[in-house]
Amino acid sequence: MASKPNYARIGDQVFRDVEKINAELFTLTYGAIVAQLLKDFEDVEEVNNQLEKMGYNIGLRLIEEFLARSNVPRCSDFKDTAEVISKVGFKMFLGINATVTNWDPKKPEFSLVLEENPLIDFVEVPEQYQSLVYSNILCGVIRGALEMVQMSVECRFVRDVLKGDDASELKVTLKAMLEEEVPVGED
Amino acid sequence: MTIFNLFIYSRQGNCIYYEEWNRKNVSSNLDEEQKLMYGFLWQIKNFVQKSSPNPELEKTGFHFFRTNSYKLHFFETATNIKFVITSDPDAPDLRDLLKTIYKNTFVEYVIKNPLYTMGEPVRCELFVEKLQLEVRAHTSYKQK
Repeated sequence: MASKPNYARIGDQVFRDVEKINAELFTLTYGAIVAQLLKDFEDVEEVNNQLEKMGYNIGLRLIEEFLARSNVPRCSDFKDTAEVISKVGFKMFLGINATVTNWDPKKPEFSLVLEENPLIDFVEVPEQYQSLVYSNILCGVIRGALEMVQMSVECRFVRDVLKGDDASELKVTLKAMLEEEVPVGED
Repeated sequence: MTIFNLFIYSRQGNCIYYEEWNRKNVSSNLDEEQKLMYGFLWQIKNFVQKSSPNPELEKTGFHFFRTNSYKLHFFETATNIKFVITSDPDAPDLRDLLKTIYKNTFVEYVIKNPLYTMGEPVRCELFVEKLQLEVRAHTSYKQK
């Protein structure tokens, strides 16, 4: 058996090579988007949906950038995928590390715990928006990106620093493996 | 040495980009040819995978084939976008060229182009321009 690649090292390497933008600009721009959505839709649930959808559309394309830049080998199983997302994916695009916990091989499902989250710096959610999932865009990105590599997943926040929890936790559940498109006339 | 043509297939199996350089036989029906190529790739990929003693490892098992008159190189991303290039038979492995095209040209000028809809035929001028530069600069590209 080939030994497992060192994902943490790959993550550091690719993070060093990618173009960076100012973190505050990024955080504030995202904040402006969420604020505008709240104004436009007026319904918090709908804003959550919209954020997820925006993330999904980002994920569909972001995965290509990820694969092209990171050179990670094909994942052998879903657990491997979790490691790659946490150590390479989050590092490459957000500059942070996520930790994989609560691995449940039966479903299969895992949690990504974010100690820090650049999206929520300077953020306070007003009283009337308590059900807002501020960083829901991340769920969409993960769902979109994994769908492109034949994994249909469900992703949601189970803990959120903005709601008073000590860390943010994303739960990712594998629903199905998708099949490759069959050419016309074959079956 | 020379390069004949290039096919790019979307994950839905449609030919989203086609280009030819020093092609000598003129295709009577390009559309049909592109479909036939996809069918062939799909079949051989499955065949290669199924005949392997370790099918799990063979997801990218097919790399190229060669005849007396040409060589076909194949590269597929984990997202099932397929890149195919044909060259004369003495060319070295051109999968590196395909990977560079994917990384430096396709992702940069097609995927990151907000006006491009995923899975649609590629009509991005910049992509075509950069692709031409890339292929023509390659050592395997030289008209006989």
